[in-house]
Amino acid sequence: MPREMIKDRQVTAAPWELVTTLPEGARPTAGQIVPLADWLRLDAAGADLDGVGVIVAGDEDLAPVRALLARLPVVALPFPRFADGRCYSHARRLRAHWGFEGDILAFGDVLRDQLLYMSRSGFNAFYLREDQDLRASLAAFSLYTEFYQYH
Amino acid sequence: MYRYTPMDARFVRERVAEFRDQVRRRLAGELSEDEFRPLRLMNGLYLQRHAYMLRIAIPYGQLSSAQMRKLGYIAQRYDRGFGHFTTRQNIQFHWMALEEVPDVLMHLAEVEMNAIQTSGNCVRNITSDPFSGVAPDELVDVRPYCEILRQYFALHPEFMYLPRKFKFALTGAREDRAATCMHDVGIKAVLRDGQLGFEVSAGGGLGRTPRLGQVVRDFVPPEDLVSVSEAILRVYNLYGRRDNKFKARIKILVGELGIERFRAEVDREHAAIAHDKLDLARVAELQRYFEYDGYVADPDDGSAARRRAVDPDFDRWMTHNVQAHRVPGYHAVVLSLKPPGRPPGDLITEQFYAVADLMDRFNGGRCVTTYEQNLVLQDVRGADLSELYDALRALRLASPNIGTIQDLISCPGLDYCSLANSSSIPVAQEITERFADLDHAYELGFIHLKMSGCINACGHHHMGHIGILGIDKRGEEFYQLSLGGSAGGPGEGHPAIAEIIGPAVARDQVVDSVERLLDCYVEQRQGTESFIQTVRRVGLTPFKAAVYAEREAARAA
Repeated sequence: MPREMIKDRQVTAAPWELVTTLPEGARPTAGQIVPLADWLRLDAAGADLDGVGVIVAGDEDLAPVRALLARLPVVALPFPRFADGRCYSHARRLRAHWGFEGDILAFGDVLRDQLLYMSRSGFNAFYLREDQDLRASLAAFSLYTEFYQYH
Repeated sequence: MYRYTPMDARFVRERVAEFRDQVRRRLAGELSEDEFRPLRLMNGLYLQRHAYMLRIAIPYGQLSSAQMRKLGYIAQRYDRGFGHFTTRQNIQFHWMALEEVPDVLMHLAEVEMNAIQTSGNCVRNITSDPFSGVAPDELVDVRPYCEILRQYFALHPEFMYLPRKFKFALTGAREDRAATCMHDVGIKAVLRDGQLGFEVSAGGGLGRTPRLGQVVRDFVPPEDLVSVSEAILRVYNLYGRRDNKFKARIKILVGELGIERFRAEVDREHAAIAHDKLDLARVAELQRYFEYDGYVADPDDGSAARRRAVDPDFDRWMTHNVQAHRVPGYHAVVLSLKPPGRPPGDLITEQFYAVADLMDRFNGGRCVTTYEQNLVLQDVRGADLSELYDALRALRLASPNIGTIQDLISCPGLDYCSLANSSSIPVAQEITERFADLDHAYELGFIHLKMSGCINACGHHHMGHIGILGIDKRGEEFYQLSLGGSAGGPGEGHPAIAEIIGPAVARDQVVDSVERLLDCYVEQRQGTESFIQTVRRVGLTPFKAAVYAEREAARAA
């Protein structure tokens, strides 16, 4: 788990623990982010999920998340390879179409040269790949003065 | 033509600065080639057999004389003195050095050009009818819509890492001169009860799985054109296959879902954004850029007609290279980039500069590139035709061969491309040399021959009346012949994918085989039937016999 992250265009301590595989019988606690299926299962069982976020993969249906948005502090979207762009559409849906106001976290193969596209699609939080220079990567956010989309 | 706003100009310069830094990090070893590859491709830069190739966008084919001169300068200063116009209205330079590319891009920015998204898995250069604005059969000038889409998808953050490349083509005319049928999204203007709209198709494409596009919406009001396009892209981005590069184009998704389910997904996606209407005042505003204000009252002094009567060469050029115009007395003139024996679609440095001068003298400083890899001066006065012809002839750009066997399409092939399995330019040269006699070419009539040096089909062989595909057989170059393809253009009838006629032939058999196909056509044709019409009427059998009879006989003996 990274110690530092970029959040809201600043380097900051990484607060969340990504639990990509939830151990059998484990009860997630606030500050953890678990797979959507686990979150839904535990919620149906009446577990206290206050402060627990969800992971939604690019090939997963995002629709069930919509009803949960008010209860989710963070939605984490994985980039198994930086060239896999599916989660840009998830982020766009969450932020622009559904008005999600919590954090949208990118993790996995997250590199400096894609940060701007991610940020403009709705991500505000980034667990970058380990070898990335976080402070140098901040430059990605100020490369352009204006854009053609989303006025 | 469109001119950059201060925002466009700044945006393109900021893009160059971003890429310059990426090149610096690559050269410093901070970026791996795997990480750098998509970044350079999005900026038009390929690593080919001998050097880097830079593909520069010519949005929907529109070029100014200042841009043409700049391309000449780039050919001279940074390349080996030539550039290659592509079937998607772009231009390529094949001898680039990586460390110089940012400077080349700055030169381009000075004349309002860029190489943004000419490659990569993103929305590519948007192509259109080269006769937009002047064609007599035009319903609407689609260039404002092309520009709107170009801007909307320029660095669109959601769609820069699609499963695969994504190509739009638009036409506003009754005849489709933009090959919309074989694009990921093809957009055709239609009128319904006097109202303008667009028929939007998706899932066309060539490569190893050629498919014609299928209609997603038969009537999209202009104000919904961008949102419908976005909905299609979102469906593709989410559901397009990413497990296999060869199954990643939208044509595969449309095929696997079926058009009804695909349409339902698009409709669902569109419902979420349908409120976001295109402001039609913006279309009107952009339209002003494309209106030509150089028309004069008496454009034709009769000189061209008089010369035609006494100069057979000029008459042939008028017949084949000069096309109808919606304004009486004006003509659209096609500059043939297909002189026999030369690489199709190329200009050399001196020609860039000279053509730029002719654009200034005769065409308000503009020209258009075409799907067939030629150039068009769209607004030539009748009174100027004679003088223009003499100038073009001196430049070897007046070959009166448009629409003939000499006017073939070809990719660069093995000479440059690292994907290619086989040569295409030298074979194209051999074909045009074999049919260099114009009377013979005219006798063979209207025909589109299209050749690709590999299965990626940059030469659109699937759309050729005669298609030729270079393949590699145990280290030797072989060529697969196909017949009956059509991009659905004027005189071609409905769009169709060419059918392979038999085993691939050896390199030294290609030209003879083409000749046999054409001989067979001459035997079979009825009246004034064109090659494609004859193929459609008689089928492939006689053509197969013509090409393979000797081989079969030899095998039997």
